[in-house]
Amino acid sequence: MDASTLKLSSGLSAGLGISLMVGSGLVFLLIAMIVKRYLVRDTHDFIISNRQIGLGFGVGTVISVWTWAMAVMMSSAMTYKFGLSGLFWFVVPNGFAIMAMIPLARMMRKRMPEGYTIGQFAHVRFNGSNVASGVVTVTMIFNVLLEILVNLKGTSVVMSTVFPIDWRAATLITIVTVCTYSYFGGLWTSVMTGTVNTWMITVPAAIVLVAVFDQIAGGAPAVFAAVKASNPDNLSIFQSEAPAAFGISLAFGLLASVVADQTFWQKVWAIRADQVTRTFLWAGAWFYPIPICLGMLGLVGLAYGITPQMIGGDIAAIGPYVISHLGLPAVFIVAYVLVILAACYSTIDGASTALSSIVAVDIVKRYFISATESRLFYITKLSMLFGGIIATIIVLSGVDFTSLVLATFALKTAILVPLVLAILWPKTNTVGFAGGVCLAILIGMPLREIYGELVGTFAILGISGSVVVIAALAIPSQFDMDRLKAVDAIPVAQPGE
Amino acid sequence: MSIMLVLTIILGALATALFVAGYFRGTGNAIRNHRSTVQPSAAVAEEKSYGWSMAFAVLAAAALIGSLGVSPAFFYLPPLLVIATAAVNGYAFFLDRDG
Repeated sequence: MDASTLKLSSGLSAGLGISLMVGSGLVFLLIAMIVKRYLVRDTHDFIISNRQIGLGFGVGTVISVWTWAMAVMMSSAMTYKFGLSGLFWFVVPNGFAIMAMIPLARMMRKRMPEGYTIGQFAHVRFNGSNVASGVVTVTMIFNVLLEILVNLKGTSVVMSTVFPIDWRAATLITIVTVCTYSYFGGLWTSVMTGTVNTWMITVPAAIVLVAVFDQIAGGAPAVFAAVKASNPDNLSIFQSEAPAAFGISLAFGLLASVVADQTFWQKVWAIRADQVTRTFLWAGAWFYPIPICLGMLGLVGLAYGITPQMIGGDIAAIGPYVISHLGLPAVFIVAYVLVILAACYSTIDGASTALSSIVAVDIVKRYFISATESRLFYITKLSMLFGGIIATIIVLSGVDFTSLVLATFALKTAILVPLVLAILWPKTNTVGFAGGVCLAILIGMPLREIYGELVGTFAILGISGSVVVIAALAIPSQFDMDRLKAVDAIPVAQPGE
Repeated sequence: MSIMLVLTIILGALATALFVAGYFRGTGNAIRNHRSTVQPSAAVAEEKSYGWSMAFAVLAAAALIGSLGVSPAFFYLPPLLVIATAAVNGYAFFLDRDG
């Protein structure tokens, strides 16, 4: 197997790429119109689907929202860089993070059955503290922005790599497409299109991978033999380099990404209470095969001896490079692009929908109490577009968004332990929560800068948790969790309204 | 086209059929539930064994990745399991009679 035999496939026109982007958007727009007509009549339906989402749509939407466009590519990239140990440390914590939501989700549905957002929980839990709820709300907004930004960037890179499309045009087409369909129907649209996206991510990915082995002379045994010949360590999951380089910090980062993300909390409150446990269990468990399957493209890259220089220095491009340079028939390349598009669209529309719930509940309902239902509904719908517009401006401006990545990392890692304790431990108080988050960022981030990600992550987690415990011991108080049951639901529109 | 690719396409088609059937059923149920005035139960299902299921899923994923380094015969397991993900999603619509 020789990398010099690889050549870019021909026949992939800009028109084909644009048709795929817009065409899938048109299918989703049709679904959105059905949702708008039959399933949404007010803000309550728009942001929480009347808490009627069942197991099928629940599993589909959680899998698709968790499958980021970059995750599809990073599973191949980590395998390419670290062998199977890279795949192991990338994949195993990923599915676990989703399933780790189960105890928290169960507790929240029991204690706060009429909830909408995790910021709303913080507001009630910390006796109306604007500092505590503000910290949570800002973290959620940053997280949503980052999700949109990263997926937008990832998709524009893939589309401009595989097709002769300018990356700026790819960015604009993506965001216009997603915003257009997700504007109609809110969470129901996100859930229904997300479930379609789960199909688009799974079945085509399986066929494409088997077609890749079909295309290679000698098939899977040749790939196995070539990887083993170049470095047998790449076929072991027990190499220590991957956990030290990224695995351990990624595991905590992924936990924070789920627990500190309104995208998942919105689903916790929108899925029928009797299906919440099973939904997150099935979604976490059945998510696993997706990155494992796509990660194997990294093994193919290793087998061919592809160098990072050949793929432009960015190892995230190894998957798209293998697919577009093996000489596969165009139909398989198109199928792979659909996998990336599905992963991108579902995460962006899920994030936009989460943002609409934050705007409705944590901003308008809290600070503009007199807003009528019709005005609230209008603002909620418009807020769907806000995150997309901001993210597009950042991507198109070409500015380095490292600061946003760092700020979001700091906030979500710092909030993880205090938030979990606030849910589980009635002695957690406002001083401990806000102080824990602030001190963890102020001390932990410089430590991360000096000693690296692993030390920084542990420092942030340790400081935030310790401050909560110390404050609880210093200022003894006991929150009555039953007060969470008194949260007001957004009034449901009556027929004819 | 190898037998494996043909088999994958056939299994993919079967999973797709189950998925589509489930999807239409789920959409119909969602519209019916929306029209109904009955609110869904707020009771969280008592499922005590989810911890074991989580542990099994994590170990199974780890074992699957480990198996890829043992023999190329296992290289075809992940694509088959990805198809199973789509099939399980379709089956979920039938298992949850109200959703």
